[in-house]
Amino acid sequence: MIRKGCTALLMGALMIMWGCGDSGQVRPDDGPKAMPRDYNFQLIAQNIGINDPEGDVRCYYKVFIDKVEEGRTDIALDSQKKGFRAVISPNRHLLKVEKWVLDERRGTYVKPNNIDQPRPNYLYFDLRKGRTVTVDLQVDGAGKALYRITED
Amino acid sequence: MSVKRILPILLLFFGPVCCKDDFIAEREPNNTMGQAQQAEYDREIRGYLQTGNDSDFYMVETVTDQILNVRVTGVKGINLAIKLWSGGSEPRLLKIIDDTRKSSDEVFPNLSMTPGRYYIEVCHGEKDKRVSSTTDHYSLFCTIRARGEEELEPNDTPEQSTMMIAGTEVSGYYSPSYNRLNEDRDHLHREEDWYSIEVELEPNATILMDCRLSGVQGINSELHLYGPDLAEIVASDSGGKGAGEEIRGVGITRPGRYYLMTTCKNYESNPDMPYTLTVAFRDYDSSRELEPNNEFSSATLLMKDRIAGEINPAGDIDFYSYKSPEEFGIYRIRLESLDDVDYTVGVYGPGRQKLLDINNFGVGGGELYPDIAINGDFSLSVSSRGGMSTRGGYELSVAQLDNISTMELEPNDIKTDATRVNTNSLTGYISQRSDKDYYLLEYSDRVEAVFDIKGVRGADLKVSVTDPLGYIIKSVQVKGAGGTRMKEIVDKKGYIIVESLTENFEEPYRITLRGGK
Repeated sequence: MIRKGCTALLMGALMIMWGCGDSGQVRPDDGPKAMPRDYNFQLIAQNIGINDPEGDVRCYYKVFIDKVEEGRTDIALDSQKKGFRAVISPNRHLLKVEKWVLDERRGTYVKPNNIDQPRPNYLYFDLRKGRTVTVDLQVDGAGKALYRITED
Repeated sequence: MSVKRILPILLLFFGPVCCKDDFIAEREPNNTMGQAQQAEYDREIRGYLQTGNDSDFYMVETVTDQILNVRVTGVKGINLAIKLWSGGSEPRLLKIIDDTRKSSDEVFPNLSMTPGRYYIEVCHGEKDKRVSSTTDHYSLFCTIRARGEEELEPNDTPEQSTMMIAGTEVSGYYSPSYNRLNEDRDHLHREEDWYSIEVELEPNATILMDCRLSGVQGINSELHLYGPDLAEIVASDSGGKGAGEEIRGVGITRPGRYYLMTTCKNYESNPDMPYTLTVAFRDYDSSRELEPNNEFSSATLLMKDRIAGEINPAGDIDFYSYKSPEEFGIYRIRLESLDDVDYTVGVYGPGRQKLLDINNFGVGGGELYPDIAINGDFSLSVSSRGGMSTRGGYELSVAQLDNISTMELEPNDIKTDATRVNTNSLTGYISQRSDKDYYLLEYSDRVEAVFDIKGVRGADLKVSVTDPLGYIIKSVQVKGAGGTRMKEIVDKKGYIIVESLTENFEEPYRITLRGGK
């Protein structure tokens, strides 16, 4: 009886393993996954120096953590808050941002020259285990960036 | 011996030879048919239009069917004309030959005569002021020949049409320049030659008619085909000066008398060189188009997946209708060209609205549209840019594609026509030069997507992901059949845009969407 039960258990395990193998076919659960709801790092970027709608373009920030592209903020007007969230390991990290703006004529987002990027465009920050760091990036009309770090 | 003494001797011997007239002088009065002067064949008659109202009548007779050639030489400063009358108790005006020019000859090469009497009236033309001449004569020449396989002038109306027999070549002339008896407002004074042919047909049978008209130097000809009700079926006017015309593959579905009419442009004439006209019939099979199919209402039904057709004459357009076996389908439409012709295939939806034009290749290249999505029945048209079929025409095929659940729905060339992505993979084709395929991505949340792209052999693609408004965030180039991976965040909604940089219409590209981290 015990032997039969063990055999059935082994067969079941094999079937599960077989089912988990890469069959080469696309299954629904292979599709794009939602961004993590649990995060321990958050960037919120906004240009507070915009007073002219003509200069208030749609844009986003590419986010590099430790020189690796981690993603981008959502897309909004330059004057609006744009967010990015990620799960990163506790450590000291280098955050670097890269602004991309919409060129409506070309129908695509383009990276402005360095002179039009936030200055500075990087920040070192510490992330402790079990804590969440939020970086508020505020850029003024002259392109000067002010980073404010809060920890929860 | 003095000259005075030998002159009578010379006149005695040589006088009859030197002084014999080799022409006949006009004998006035000959101003009416009753006073008509007998003309001799192959003998010149010299006459004068002595007053502004003078008309000179001559008479010829025949006891057998003959063809009469009449020529009057021009008189300087006078616009001459010839009127040809049939004799009998009620003379009938058959032709007026008047090129409306001064000093020029008037010629009519082929009046068809049956036994009886005919009158030739030499008179003033209608256009110019009638000027008399008592010093410059005209010369009238009448010659006859046996009747062959040829038009029987006058054959200027359907009622006067010359009967033809299929497979037999008949000849005719573009002469005279003007037919003064033609009062048709649209074609005033146009000289037309009408022919007719009797078609016997079994019920529900169909045969194809081919008509060929040879070219004549200096003539820009036209060939028209009319049905038993005298409604025009098709016309050919593709050749220029000196070129012939051809009508091929006209579907004949009912018996009766059909009519052919030849004419030319700009009142040109050539009384010296005849044209030839032939009509032939052949069996119809459903693998060929059925002309005339120049509009939706007469479209040839695509009974099989493949049908052959021709662009003939130049400017021809062929319509086909396709009965879809299912309510929705994706179809591959291919045209194989046997000619050096630049074809265009039009695709029309069930409401006859044009969906697109297929024109991916140039002269001799045929056409291909790999995957068009259509709801219900549809129609196709085949046309060309100027050329016409000379070496066999084209073959048009329609194939319904299988396994279409992950396929793009062409046309999806603009954002509003984007194919919605419902699965984790999608398949598309480059369907035209500089093609753009839009796909719509929609998620309930913000996602990071990974796109595994497999390109097309021999083609270069640019694949882009956009923001919710359709502005490109990221692009990758895919060369050949290789694979490329692209990651990008989709803010709940976005588009994939696949653009072709170089094309291969035969094979698909594939994009698989996989989850990111």
